[in-house]
Amino acid sequence: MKFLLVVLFSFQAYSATPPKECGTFAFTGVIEKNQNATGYSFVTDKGTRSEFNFPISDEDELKAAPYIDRPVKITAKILKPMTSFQGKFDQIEKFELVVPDPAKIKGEPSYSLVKKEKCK
Amino acid sequence: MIKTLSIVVLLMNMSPVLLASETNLIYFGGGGEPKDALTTQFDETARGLGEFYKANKNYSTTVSFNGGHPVTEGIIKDKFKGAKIEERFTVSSYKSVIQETIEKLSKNPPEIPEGGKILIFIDSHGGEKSGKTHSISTTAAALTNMNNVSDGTSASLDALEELTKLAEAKNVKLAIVDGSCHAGNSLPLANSKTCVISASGPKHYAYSTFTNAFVTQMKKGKNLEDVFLETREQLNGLGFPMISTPEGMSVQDEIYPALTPYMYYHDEYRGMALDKIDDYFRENNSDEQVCRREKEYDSLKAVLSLIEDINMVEKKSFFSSKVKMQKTVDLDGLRKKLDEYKKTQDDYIKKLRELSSTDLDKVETIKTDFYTTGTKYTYREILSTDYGKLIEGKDRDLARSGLPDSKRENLQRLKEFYQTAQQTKERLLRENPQFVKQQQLFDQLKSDEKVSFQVASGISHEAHTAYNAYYKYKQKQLKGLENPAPNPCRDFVL
Repeated sequence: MKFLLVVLFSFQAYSATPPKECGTFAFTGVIEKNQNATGYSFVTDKGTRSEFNFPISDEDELKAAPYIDRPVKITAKILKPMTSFQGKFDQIEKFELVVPDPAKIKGEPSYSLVKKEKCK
Repeated sequence: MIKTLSIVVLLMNMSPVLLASETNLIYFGGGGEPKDALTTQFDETARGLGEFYKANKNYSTTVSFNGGHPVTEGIIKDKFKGAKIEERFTVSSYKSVIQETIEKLSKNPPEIPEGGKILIFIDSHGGEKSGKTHSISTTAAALTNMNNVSDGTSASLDALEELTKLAEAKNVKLAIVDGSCHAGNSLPLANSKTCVISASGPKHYAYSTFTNAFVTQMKKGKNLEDVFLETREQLNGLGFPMISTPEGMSVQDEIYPALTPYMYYHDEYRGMALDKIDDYFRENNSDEQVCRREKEYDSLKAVLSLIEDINMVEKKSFFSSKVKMQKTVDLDGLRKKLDEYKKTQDDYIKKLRELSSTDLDKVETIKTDFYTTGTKYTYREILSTDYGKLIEGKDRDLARSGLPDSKRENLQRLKEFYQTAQQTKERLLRENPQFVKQQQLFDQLKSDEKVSFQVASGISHEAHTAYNAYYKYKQKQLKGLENPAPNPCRDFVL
């Protein structure tokens, strides 16, 4: 029982929480075709408790096109605090291909705050 | 009697002041970190060095470190109570601390007497060679390039050269511990009185536990050479720490140049490329360079064999009178990793040699009647995009029922854009058929786990065994010399 509690606690501790601040963030994930809607979404840590989902707007889709279905880091502004694992990029600044690290060997988080800004 | 006692008490009270000028610690760094962050990556080392300071209050200490990151600032205030603390690590505070130290040495009589000690500990982001040494980040700007930090906001370690010359002339022991990336570029600052220790080689990032381990090993009575060697033994991560002792210079000269490409990898840090392998391949695929690469690899293997040979011991068997030789240093693991990585690199170089040099970073703007401003792409991006799949995706979206007209119209416009982009891609391919292959090659490289941090750090880790064993052998060799070269790192006792 004790073991089970420890395991459960560990999983709780591992799952990421949505960022509470606003500003420029770097997220690592994959841009995928939406299965039940039009367009594309950027997904981090798919299938885990840390999965974040950001719809890609039509305008951003043109810039995102070369990075679809590939491991990518997106640097983007979020100007409204996220309340759930569904987010919205207010402005995408950069797309970069990254080395996939599905087993989290490097222990890097799904997202990091690059520059803090006031929420709108 | 009372008078004598008073003088003794007075002298005892004065001793810390006298000692304070004999032993000096200067702590620089903490720059280049993102603004608005609470912490910096230098916090753990700051805590560790703070513990050394607490335990060795005889060090007259000046701290010019960070500024702007509350947690880091708190550590400095808490751990360095009693030290002279500059508010921020800027080019101006860096130069002013160096100037003050030069003045202390220049005064008559000098404030730092003959035989005195100055330990300069640097922990910041560092760039590749610039000038005689290299530059490190200050708090004036967040780092934007992991290879080049030389701009108006960075502090050049060339500024320490005058201090090293003066310390040598005044017979003062000086030590510079450079914990930054590319720190091996600081080794030219060494002289007969200046010990230089670096967290990495001149061509590598210091992506390791070097500074944390080093400050943990710093204990009163230990010399810096021993601290360095003990740190190296427990090092994790990637880097090739160096030391300016005669033994260190000799080992580094024999191992480092040939090992260099096998500690390169492709990765990124805070959105910045940690990349030397792309350029290495681009710059090393001519006949002559490939030939030199092979020779360097052979020389590396020869050194590894030598290190094993000199560390063989005789082993007598219970059942036989014959004496067998047994390895005490086994470098098979390193050899295996090197062979594997060399093969991966050779494959890339071979493929690159088959392709002519082309510029995939050229930019093309794709426009349509609707998207009149257009979107800019590099050739690399256009060539790596599967427009067929994107068009197919739009067809699937358009086949959905219940879409509002405005959405349908938008999907159609996107589809037309991808059709135009597809035509651009086809044109580029017609005009430059070699593009695809080259682009595929570099794209493959970027996500190839055989060219990753794990591979390079594995080699770096195994190479510590070779370095440490060879260093000890060189120590024994030099011990026998009648007039050994000066060893300011051994002479610098904490």
